[in-house]
Amino acid sequence: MNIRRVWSLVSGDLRLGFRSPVILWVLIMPFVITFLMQVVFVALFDPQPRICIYNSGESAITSVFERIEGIRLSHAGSPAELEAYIENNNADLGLVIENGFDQALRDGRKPELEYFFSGGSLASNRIVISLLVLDVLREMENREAPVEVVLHTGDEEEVVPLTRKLIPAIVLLVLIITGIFVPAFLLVGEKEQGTMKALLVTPVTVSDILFSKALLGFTMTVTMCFITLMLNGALSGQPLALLATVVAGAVVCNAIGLIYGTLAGNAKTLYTLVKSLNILLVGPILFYLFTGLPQWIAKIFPTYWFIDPLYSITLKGADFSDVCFKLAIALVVGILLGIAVVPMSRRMQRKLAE
Amino acid sequence: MKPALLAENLSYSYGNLKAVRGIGFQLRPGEILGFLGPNGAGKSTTIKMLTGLLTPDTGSIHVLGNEMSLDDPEVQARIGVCFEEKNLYLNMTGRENLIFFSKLFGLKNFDTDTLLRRVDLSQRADDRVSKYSKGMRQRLMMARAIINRPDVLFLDEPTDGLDPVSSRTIRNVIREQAERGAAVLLTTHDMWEADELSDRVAFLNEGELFAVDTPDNLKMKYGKRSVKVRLGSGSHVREETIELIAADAGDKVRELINSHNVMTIHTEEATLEDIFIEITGRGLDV
Repeated sequence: MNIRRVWSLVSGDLRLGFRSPVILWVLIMPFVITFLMQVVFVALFDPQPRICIYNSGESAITSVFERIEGIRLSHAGSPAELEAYIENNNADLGLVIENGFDQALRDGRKPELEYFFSGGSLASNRIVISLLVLDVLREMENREAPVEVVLHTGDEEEVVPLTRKLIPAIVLLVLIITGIFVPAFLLVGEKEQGTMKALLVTPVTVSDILFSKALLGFTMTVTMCFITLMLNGALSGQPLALLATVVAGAVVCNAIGLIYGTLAGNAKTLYTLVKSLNILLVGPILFYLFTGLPQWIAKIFPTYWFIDPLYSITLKGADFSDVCFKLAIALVVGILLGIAVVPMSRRMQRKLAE
Repeated sequence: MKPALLAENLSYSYGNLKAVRGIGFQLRPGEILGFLGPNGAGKSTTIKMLTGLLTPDTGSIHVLGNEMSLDDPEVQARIGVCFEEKNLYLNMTGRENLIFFSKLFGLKNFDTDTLLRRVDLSQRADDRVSKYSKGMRQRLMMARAIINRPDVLFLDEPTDGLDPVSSRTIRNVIREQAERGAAVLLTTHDMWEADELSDRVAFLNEGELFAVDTPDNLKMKYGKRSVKVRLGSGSHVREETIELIAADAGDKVRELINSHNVMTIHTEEATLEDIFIEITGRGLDV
């Protein structure tokens, strides 16, 4: 292998890459997937309660609601506007605060407060908002809650918001798509255009070609994963442990990508391989979803050894020392898969020539 | 003189199909050897073995004294190959293709413009290859094959299906390379091209090599030595054939020229295709 020739091949791929739809997709994927997962998916499955307030006087209730996290607050300019808001299901609850409401509350006159619930609002949101409004009113009256609430979740673990729960899935998606697709697609592209043969009758060797594809794939995978982690605000906790996990994952995925690329003669075969075998790559995720399954089976999958550290770091707060053993195994798996590419590349070379 | 290319006892089989059967030949520096044969004769398989893409079942190949291997960059740096199928980077421009390959050969201060001018692609150098015609792509492939000033040049059907202008450009480049001292191995099933370009031709049929000699020697050996004379004028035209091996052939020709109205005189030497058919019993266009 020769570094100058490898670099020449990488620079050629980079030049061509920006004209290739697959590479362009890989470059924009972290942004698209993050948007889809965090905005669309979360909006669908983790909707925040929405309150719309028409404040005719200068009630402090609006500013109290503004300080509360986890709700979406909007303001109506008139009772009619509020009514339209609720009818269109743009808010779960509408509140009309009359002039002098705060004073009446402080005087203990029990002012009337009308709730306008949207017919399309979720029952859970109605309960949350009702309790929240009572809490706010108690605060405005300077009264303390009659009890001290201690929160317990079913499995005694920290409550993790859905946006954070999705991070391992998003990173895994970027790892698998970039790590596998880039080297595989580049190799198959050379075969489809016949340029692989043209390269082989220059001083370039098969090892140069395979290494150049893996190097570009590795660099892009690590970069794209880091961009994804950054976009999702996941770099603040354990950046070094995450970097190590992404590196180990990229090694495994690139090796799998090279195997796909050497086996597939054209893009159609490559897509078939990806479609039929990717379930084996994302298999470990099933064991997180269905915890009743025997967990040892997950360890059979080559991707387990970086998926589990990724999950532990992002969701359980594990640090490098907790995951280094698994990451070492992931690197060994990646190297073994890389070694398996050698006999496959000889077969590929013979098939190309014939 | 040490041969630029030495092939000995080469054989290759695709499963049970024997594509090449124990062929051997050598090529001197500056020589053009034309490999003539119909489709499926084993020409492309031979080139693939000679360039290292296929490992022969038997035999050996030496390029400038070194054993041919795909894993030996030193040997690969001294050969140039132009394949039958077009294999260029379609999303790169013509210029980018050449610059990319020049880097793979480690060439410094590579003059792309001169090479592009040589294959008449200066005007379209910065267009993507996907917009090139078949002839332009073939000329670019030819330019790529000679980018490293190879000592041995392998050309697989370099003018197949091209327009006359592109064909002529490529033939001129081939001649220049041979004059420079490169050994050229050219496969073709165009007997006229082989005759025009080759110092020697080799007939390949069903994987076997039948004859390796100069076109003139083959014609002398296998062709008819005669002239056909057309005489007369208007509608009264007749033809006479004079065998040149006869002792009085010169007198007969002179007599016809002096006493008749000679319209045309043609030699009746055999074409390479005639000779190929005579030797192999099979035509070149099969």
